[in-house]
Amino acid sequence: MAAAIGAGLPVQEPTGNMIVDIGGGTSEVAVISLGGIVASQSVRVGGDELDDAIVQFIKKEYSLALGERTAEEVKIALGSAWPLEEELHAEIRGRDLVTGLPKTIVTTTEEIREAIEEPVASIVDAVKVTLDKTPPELAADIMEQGIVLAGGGALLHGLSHRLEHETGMPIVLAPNPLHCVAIGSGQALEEFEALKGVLFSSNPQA
Amino acid sequence: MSENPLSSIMGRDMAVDLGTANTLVYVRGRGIVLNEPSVVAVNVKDGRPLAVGLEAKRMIGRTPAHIQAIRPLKDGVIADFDICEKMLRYFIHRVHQRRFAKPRLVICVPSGITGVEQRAVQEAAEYAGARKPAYIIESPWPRPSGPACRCRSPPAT
Repeated sequence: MAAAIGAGLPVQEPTGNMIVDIGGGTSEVAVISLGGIVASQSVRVGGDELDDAIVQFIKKEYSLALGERTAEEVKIALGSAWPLEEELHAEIRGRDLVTGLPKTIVTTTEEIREAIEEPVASIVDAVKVTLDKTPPELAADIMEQGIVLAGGGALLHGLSHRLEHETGMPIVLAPNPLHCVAIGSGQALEEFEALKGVLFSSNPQA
Repeated sequence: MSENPLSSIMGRDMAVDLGTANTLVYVRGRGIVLNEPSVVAVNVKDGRPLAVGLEAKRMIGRTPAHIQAIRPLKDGVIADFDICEKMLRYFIHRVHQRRFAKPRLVICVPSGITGVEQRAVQEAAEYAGARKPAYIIESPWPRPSGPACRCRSPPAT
């Protein structure tokens, strides 16, 4: 919700807006209309899961142990969800599990794409499931306005192409994907008195 | 309400995006003032934090035995309550610099989390020095899916 406000979507209007927020630990897909959530899906797959998938893949293919930080760097540099125009390759360093010695290997964007295929697919599935739950009027609105991507995961190369291909919907990248949620909650703060009743739940019910 | 004369004493209102990877702090009227990784490096001997944020992130995987670099959030929820509270306290103080400030805090949580997990976020914020109650932005609607529900349904998982 906060991400949708931060992305500048007209959340209070009676039109359907779809936001996909891919964070570090969770990905959330929501369809918002009239200030409320109509359909949503939350999966515990995010940036961390992608890093982990890279670590596992490199371990399996090259018997190389990678650090968490290195995996993240590899993801940012080489990670993609759709074939790139120009496939890249890079050297990565880790510890060889067979000899126990440090080792450098060369990996490519194709390999990393294969490595992160599973978590990426579950994010795509979450989007599809949410679309499936969306009432037809709102689905038509989304078709017109597109799905908005936010969160760090939105920066994954080719993710918008992938989603566009799989859902047939136009995809829009939020202007400041990393800051969306903070900006959105900030805006809720600026209009605190007006939005108090709508947005905040200070007594969560279990 | 524009500028409350009390706000400078009580502390400005803040919004926090407590993310698994990064924590962002927004201060009313000033915009985003802080964007740091959600990582805390602690000295295991006395439990005191050595570094928070970017500095702590550089320590991940590079620590000697007596230092631990911890990411207190996992899958969008708090995995280590004490460390998370310390991190929030540090961020609040860095933004405010006043020791006794008790800012009003709005904190953002993923919509799929359970009531217990949400409560943990709220309490961490309150212990860390936020004015009570700390407000949670979340999406108020029943969740038919999620781990909490799945384990109550008959099919084995």
